[in-house]
Amino acid sequence: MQFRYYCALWSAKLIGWGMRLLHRSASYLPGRVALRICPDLMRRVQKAPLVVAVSGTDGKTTTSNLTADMMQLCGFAPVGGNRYGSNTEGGVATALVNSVNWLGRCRVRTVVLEVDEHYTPIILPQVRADYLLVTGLFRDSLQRNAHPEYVFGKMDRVDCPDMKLILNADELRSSGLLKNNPRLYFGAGPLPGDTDRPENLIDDMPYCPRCGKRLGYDYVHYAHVGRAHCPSCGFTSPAPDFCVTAIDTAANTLRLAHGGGETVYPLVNEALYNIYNEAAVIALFTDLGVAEDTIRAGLAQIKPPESRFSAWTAGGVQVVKVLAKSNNSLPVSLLFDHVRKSPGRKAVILAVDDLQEAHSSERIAWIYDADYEFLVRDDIVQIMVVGARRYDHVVRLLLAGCPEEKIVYGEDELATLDELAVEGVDSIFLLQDNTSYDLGTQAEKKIRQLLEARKS
Amino acid sequence: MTIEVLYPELANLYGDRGNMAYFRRCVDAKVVETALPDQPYFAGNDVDMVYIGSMMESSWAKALEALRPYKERLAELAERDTVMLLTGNAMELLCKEVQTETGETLPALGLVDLTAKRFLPKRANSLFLGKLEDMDIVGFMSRFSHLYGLEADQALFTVQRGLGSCPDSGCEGYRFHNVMGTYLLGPVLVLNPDFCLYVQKLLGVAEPKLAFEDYVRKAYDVRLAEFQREGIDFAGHLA
Repeated sequence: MQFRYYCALWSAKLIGWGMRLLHRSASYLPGRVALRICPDLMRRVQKAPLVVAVSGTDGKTTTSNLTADMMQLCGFAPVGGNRYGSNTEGGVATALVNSVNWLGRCRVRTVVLEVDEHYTPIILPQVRADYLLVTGLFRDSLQRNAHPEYVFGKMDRVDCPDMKLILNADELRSSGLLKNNPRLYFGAGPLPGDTDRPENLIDDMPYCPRCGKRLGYDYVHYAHVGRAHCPSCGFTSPAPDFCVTAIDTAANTLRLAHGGGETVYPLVNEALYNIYNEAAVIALFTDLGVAEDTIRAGLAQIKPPESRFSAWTAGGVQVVKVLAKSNNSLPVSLLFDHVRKSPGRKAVILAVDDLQEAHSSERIAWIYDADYEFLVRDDIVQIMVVGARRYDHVVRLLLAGCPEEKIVYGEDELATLDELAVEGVDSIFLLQDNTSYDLGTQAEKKIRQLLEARKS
Repeated sequence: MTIEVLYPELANLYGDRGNMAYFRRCVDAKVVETALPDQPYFAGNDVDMVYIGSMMESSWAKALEALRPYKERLAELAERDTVMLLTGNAMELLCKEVQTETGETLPALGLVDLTAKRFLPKRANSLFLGKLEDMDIVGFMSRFSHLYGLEADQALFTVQRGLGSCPDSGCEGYRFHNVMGTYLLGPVLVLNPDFCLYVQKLLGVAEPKLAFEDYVRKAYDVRLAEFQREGIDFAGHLA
């Protein structure tokens, strides 16, 4: 078997070397081939001293990249992982192959792995993760994830009794994962803008997991994320070990309570779901024994990945481009929420067709789980919908109560931009699916031209 | 006209919430939403239509137990040609039984002599193109189960492309009296304007109409053309 392992390792390394020579992404295929040759390669690869896995339905990439960056900055380098790769078996195997040298000796101190939630029962026992950080379990693509209970059922089968979990105390489904594993909880206390009950269309935890009666909430941040209690049996959300108590967007800081004290940290991104991700990362590094000052200094140097969130200004108008993963209702709803809470008059461009579905036909059901109602406001002056599914989005917007005259639609994203309302708006939000990143970049250029033409 | 939506706080997976959100914009009706702990409105009142959508499996089990005491009343309403629409796995509530992935057999409400078999964690995702009378029906499926025992004369839709009630079946969904069960997601009433009008006719609406008709029909035309295209991947196997 050792012979087979080395054949797999060397094959993967050669393939990776060849692909990089051809300027191809070598983030999946080397591992895929290696697993064909040696199916238990992930178990055999020499383990790094620290292996951290990140999973959950939303925010995996952001959180694992944040974790990897912080590892680099906080004394855990060299760091390996699948930052640019797939989060299924092939991608993880590639990352592990890259973490050892040709002799099979580990050459990194830390491996940070983003792991697809469906693959956690297969991958995590093999890589012997020391930590599993779970962002949350929400509705995701119906064809990929079915529903959260199904995903929970898969993740709850992970057999790694010593692996420490870092879980979201405010998300009741994932907070109940793997009851017998050691764990830490992160969360966020009452914050401005909270509600006293779930406000999104989607509330996947309406009933108490213990007695089945209707849950109440001390406060809700979004969806069913907040502090829940059961008026019937006294059940409550777990108490967070690391709790965000205040956010100061002017100073770009967050305050976090832990162990009886409170500490101020730099705010990496003001969106609440990213604040949860940051709290999870602070929990991890604190548990690893990293000093507060070191964590603070590290976070001060971190920026969210540009492919997910970027903003610039031209002609006095702020343009915000955000990755909006179609098929994925809650993250899109959270973006809608962010748009509605942004100040000033706004135009919104929805370019959320999943271009990978071109060989088939995109399932559109998710738009009925997404809160298009958040976009129906006086200060949103125009909503542009582009792509093959434009009529579906128009129907959904009309159903939400959006006046027809505010809606502009067209199949071609760039051509339709000619009708963009640039007069009298303070910001333009471009919500772009991750399958059309290049198109989004072209759209940004065109928006800049439109704004600069208006200025001149 | 009174429409009862059963357990909307649970039976809303896969965009099925859109069915009644849209339908209530098409018809002039009183809509009663019944949450799980409450007695169904139909138990003590006449209703014209009952709707229930897709659920997680634990919610499905709760819905089944909540409805079990009203099995005879449901049968009586069916006999009286009350319109019922059950989408996704909700359709399995009216079956004789459901065989689970663990081998357990759950007796269901038994209004229709069909058996559903669950294959969790295996799942079938499919596009669907079928017929109801002269209507082309489009939709999606994402399901853990197949339905067995369906005869052609009980079928709601005939299959043209995609997965039927079970592999190799030419039928999808059941129909008896005005009770319609289908695995189709979509939401099916929004994606199929003519089917939406058909349901309105069953309800006796004199002049059925569609909300946002122009856009609903354009969306339907785009989708139908895609579904009729050669080479499109309908998938449909359990995996």
